[in-house]
Amino acid sequence: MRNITRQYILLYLVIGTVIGISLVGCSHTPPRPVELDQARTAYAEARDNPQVASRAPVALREAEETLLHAEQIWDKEKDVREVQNLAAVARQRAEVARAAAEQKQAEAELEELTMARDRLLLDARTREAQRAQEQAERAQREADQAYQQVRATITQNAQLEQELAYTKEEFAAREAAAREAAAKAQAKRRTRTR
Amino acid sequence: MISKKAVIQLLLLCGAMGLSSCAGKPPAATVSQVSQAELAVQQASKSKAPEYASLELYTAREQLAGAQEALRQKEYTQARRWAERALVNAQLAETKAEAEQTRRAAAELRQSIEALRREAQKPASPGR
Repeated sequence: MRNITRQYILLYLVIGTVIGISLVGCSHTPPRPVELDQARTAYAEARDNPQVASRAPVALREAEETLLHAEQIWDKEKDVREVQNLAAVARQRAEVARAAAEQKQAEAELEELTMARDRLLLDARTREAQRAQEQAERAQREADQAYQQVRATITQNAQLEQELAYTKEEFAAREAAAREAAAKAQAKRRTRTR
Repeated sequence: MISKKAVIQLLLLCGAMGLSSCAGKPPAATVSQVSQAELAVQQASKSKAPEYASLELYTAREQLAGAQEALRQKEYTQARRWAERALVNAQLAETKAEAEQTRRAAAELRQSIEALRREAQKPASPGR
């Protein structure tokens, strides 16, 4: 009988200890996961970057929401593994926001460069057209000059020909006059000898 | 006696219900999350991510494989967590790759603009 009571006491002691340990285990809060603070830092960095805030507000908002969710789960449930996972997701979302901002920035740069290139191409084409026009004008001027020269030469030729014709006529007239004079002189001489 | 029998029956019923809930269909939300992650990884694989964000894509694939394996093992909480991680990493891989692709295109264009400027300056000096 005494033995049995002692056994019961021992049993109660063991049960009590187990319950006590488990209670202590429950009330003891696990340490705050490092991932939560890492996620908070990553999000703060992204948020403080003006490029991210202005160019990727949606992705930034998603990162914030996940972070807040992780904080909430931590405050309410202290589920370490769930909080670790959510914090990792929040951190990656902050990275996504940063990458999205970089993408938008590069896109804007690309657009600007495209415009600059189009301007350059247009300028080059305009210059080329100008050059071609100048060349055409110069060729036209040269052709005009050549034409004028030819015309001048032709006119000169005509004048010369005319002069030549006059000279010939004059010469012929003189020759005729000379011949006539000679004939007359001969006739005179003949009448004198008779 | 009867009450004891009833308690046992009740316990058996509870156990059966618990088992059936475990062995039955996986939660629809988890399955949907895993397939979303699958889709995101597929999409990232089709982008320039294999070239420009291979590490992130690799991580996403590993996490997706973890989610699928957990789903097979009926560890649904674990499957959901892996799927969440895989999804965000696939998105990260795709976004990073897009950014890199755009940056490269801009650098190329900048070079061709430099070439155009040089060409524009070249014929001007011997021409005059």
